Amino acid sequence: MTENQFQNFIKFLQKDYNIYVPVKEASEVVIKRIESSVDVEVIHELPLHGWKKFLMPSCHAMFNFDKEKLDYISPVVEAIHELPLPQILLGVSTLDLRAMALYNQAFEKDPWYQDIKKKTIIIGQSLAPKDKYSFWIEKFEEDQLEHLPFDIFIVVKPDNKDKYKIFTGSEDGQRLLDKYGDKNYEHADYVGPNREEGFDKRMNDVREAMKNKHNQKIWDDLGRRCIECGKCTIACPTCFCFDIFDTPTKEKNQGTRERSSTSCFYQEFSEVAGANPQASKNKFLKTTAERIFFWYEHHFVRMPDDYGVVGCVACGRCSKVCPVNIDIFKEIRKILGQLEVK
Amino acid sequence: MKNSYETISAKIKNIKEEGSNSKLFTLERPRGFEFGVGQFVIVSLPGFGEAPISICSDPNDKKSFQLGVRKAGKVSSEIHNLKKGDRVGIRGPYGHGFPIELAEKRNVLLVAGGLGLEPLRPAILEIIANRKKYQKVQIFYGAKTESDLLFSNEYDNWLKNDINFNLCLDNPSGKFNLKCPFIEGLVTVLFEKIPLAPDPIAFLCGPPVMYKFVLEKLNKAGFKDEDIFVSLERRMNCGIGVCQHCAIGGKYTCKHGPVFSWADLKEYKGGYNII
Ligand code: SF4
Ligand code: SF4
Repeated sequence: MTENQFQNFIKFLQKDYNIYVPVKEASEVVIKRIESSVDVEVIHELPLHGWKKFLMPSCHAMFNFDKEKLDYISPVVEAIHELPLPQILLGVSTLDLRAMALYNQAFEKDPWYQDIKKKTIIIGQSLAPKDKYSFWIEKFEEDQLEHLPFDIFIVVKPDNKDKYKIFTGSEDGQRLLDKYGDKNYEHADYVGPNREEGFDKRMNDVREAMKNKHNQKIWDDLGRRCIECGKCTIACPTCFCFDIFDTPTKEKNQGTRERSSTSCFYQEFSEVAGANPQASKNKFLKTTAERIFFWYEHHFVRMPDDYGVVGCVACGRCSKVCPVNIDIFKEIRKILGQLEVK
Repeated sequence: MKNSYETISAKIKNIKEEGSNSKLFTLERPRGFEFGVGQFVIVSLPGFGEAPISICSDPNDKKSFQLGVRKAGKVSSEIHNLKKGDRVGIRGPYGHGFPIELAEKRNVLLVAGGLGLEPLRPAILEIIANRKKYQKVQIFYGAKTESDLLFSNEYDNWLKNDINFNLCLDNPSGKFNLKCPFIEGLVTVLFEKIPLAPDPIAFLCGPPVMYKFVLEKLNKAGFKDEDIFVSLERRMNCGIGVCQHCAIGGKYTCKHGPVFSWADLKEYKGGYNII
């Protein structure tokens, strides 16, 4: 597609969808719903707060209850707050698509997540962020596409007249392009998140090192620096820990059961109820060092073990938001023994 | 798609005081509800929330199952207000319990501290139901004081079924007319006083501090790590290995546990002590 054709295609999609796209604003990139009058620009930079709230609201009602009976509640996604239309997430980078692949696995049997997915079209794009973390990011090649989950993917070729090369990755994607009347696309069937040779070697090395080469000095040092604010867990596109709790209404025995995202850095995260009033005895993650180890362990050990997908997509968001400048890539190099631990 | 968070309703058939601050609930066993020794359910009390509770009854009983609940948090306190005939939501059973099949034809040692007797009671009842399958069976049970004792009206029956039941009380009040003899002290003193049957398999359930000392004793007594099974308690929300609250190393207490072999658990801990 040429620039013109692409803008027309987006305008065509806007009739039936709320479209969200990353937009540069002052020093930050934010995700915004686009108005039909503006042209869309596909950008390199990642939105600081990623896409996860569009796929898993940070808090949602799971059930209405009445006595012991639970009634399923369909989740309300961001888009529906603005206009009651399904949503298109446009301009999702390959990094964030990989994070979505992980969510798809983790919430494969989760009816709320699946409900939202049904009302969501994902349009990926090939531009990668150009910042200091880039050395961790694989350069885009078309053969990656069969490992990325999307409905439509646009390979951006800034110097070509046909600036946008279009791929479809699902029937929904094909249907939209057919309806628009553009047959000029290729199809890339999703074959799963990993290449034949397994997942990213560098990340696999981290997993091995986390499991078998525990260096307490790294964690003691991080434990001294981290202030347990939990910002990294909010920003990270693969973090998904949650709590389940009930909110009763004034009516006796009625209310909602809700799910809300949480952070392993919060004190209550590992607390169990106990007759013992000394709370610390009923908490299993006791020190900051243990908490941050737990966080790394989730990304580099449990996520790969559970879903066969690495839990870090190298977006650098956790490092950008960290108030004490903990840089995950430096820490990874320490874990790998490539950087000296002081 | 089956919604894992939906609950089934179970009617309370009976409620009985059992130990201090704790009650034993007998519930109707819903159709198709099968559980193994040491598994747990998540009990749902709409308006208050959900809590994981281990099943403490005989898996061979097809009509009902039992939950021992100590008043501890919001949900368990509210469960205490329920009456006979009320209904609760349950989901599960979840997790891997004690591998009772590995205990067949072997000497068995069950070590319980405090409320830890609850998840082990299904093992005791299964052993009694099929007593010939198991060799020498020993129970080491430690509680704080007489009033804390769980299932005290059953000890006689355990003894009658050729189970070597040994009790110790940390802080006996002497106020109760306890028929069963006991030793004063923590559960570890039993290891000093009672000779162990050779080469047993051990199932443990109790508070973390108990594990520390009991594992030392077992180690000294020459137990193999693969023959020691430990039941752990963690905070749980989903029960299906997603929410992360109960993670230990690479595993989940709700899914791979709550019972782990000590050999595996040692591997999981990374640099940290898991117990
Ligand atoms: S770089 Fe940080 S924020 Fe990004 S995926 Fe990895 S752990 Fe999460
Ligand atoms: S953002 Fe930094 S300080 Fe805050 S919890 Fe994460 S690592 Fe710790």
